[in-house]
Amino acid sequence: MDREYQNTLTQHLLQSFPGECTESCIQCGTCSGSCPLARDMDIGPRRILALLRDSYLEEVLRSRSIWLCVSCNACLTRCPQGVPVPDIMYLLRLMAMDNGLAHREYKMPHLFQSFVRQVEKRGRVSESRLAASYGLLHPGDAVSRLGLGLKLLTRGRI
Amino acid sequence: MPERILFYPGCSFETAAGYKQSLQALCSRLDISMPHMASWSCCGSTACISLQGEKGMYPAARILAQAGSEGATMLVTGCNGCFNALRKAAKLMHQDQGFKERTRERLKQQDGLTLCPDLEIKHLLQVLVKKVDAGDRTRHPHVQKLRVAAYYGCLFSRPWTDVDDPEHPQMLDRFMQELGFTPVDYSLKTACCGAAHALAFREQTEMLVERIIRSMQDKQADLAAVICPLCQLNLESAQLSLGLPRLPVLFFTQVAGLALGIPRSELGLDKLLIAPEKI
Repeated sequence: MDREYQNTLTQHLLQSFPGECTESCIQCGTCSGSCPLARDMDIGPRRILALLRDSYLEEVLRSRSIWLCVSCNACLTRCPQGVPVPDIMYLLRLMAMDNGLAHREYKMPHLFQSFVRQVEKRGRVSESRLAASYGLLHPGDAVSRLGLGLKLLTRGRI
Repeated sequence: MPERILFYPGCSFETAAGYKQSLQALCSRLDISMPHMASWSCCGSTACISLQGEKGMYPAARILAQAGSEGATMLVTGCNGCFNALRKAAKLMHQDQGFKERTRERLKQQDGLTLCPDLEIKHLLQVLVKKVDAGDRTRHPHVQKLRVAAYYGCLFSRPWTDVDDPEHPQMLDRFMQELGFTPVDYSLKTACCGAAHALAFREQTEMLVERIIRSMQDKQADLAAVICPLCQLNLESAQLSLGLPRLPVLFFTQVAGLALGIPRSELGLDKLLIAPEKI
């Protein structure tokens, strides 16, 4: 992604949120401190906001962090400036997909795709179908969950 | 307009460990009429909004309109994720006129539905807290001396839902106390369970659960009471591989049922992966 494209796309992203709330970030790090999965992220949420400010979008879109965000809203609860971090993450995911930058290892894109396909096809999501269709793409995860699946099955939960 | 409460089960409800049975038992004991929505669909969760942008908010908006068309004045859900998605859709329509108009148009074109702006959206906990009172409980000293860790999970009271204090919610603790249990004061009541990430990032999310369970056990909890199917599954299933003493994770409806003297067989306790032996 060249600089100009990153600039344009970043501007689009920032303008998607009202009142310049994204630019109002004071880099206090409360988001990263509150994030339950920040320790596993390659770039924490505070740094993501810093990179966006300078339009270093590609680095953000290639990161694992945007897929690791679990949407718990802890950052949003505590941010003194009201920066809508989870909504920014959603938009970053969309941009990463559009630009082919979501790495296969990040896995969540596949889980989300399986989910969305079910919603579109059936209106509802069956957890076992979801696990199966995701498991075809990531057999390691599926195999490691077979034991749990069996236990749920014997208790009539699947 | 007379109150008409409809229940929105959501995709995880059917397979949740005894949530359905215990809710049925509670409703029949307390004479609560709360039929399921006749035609419900998925709320879209984080998946749809992550891959579809604004279009991903549509499933939640459609549920609200559908509930309205079925005559609901109040829509109740027992899932934190659905609760957040539904409240978010309603709030966005309130705040953002453009979103509201686009949604109105899409509802009309795609589904022949209209907006239902006055629909109340509540979590099952909010409803049951109002319907149960201390007079309903039976004196069962063995059950009632139990120490209960009330676990809210992340989305019950955070931006978009805003129904209790986001850092220190009390609703479930007070409910447990009212039912005669001893709620324990621990620090990770609103810590995230890992949600759907448990499938793709098992190691990372099991560490989240480990901290939560340890925090409950440090305060000598006998069991955890939860208010969301995904929280229940994650808190329970991660324990099977963590080398900790096991802590039973029950739905708050099961715990309430025990306090009301409803037979265990009607509460679906046999569906739990960690048997509540002390109870």
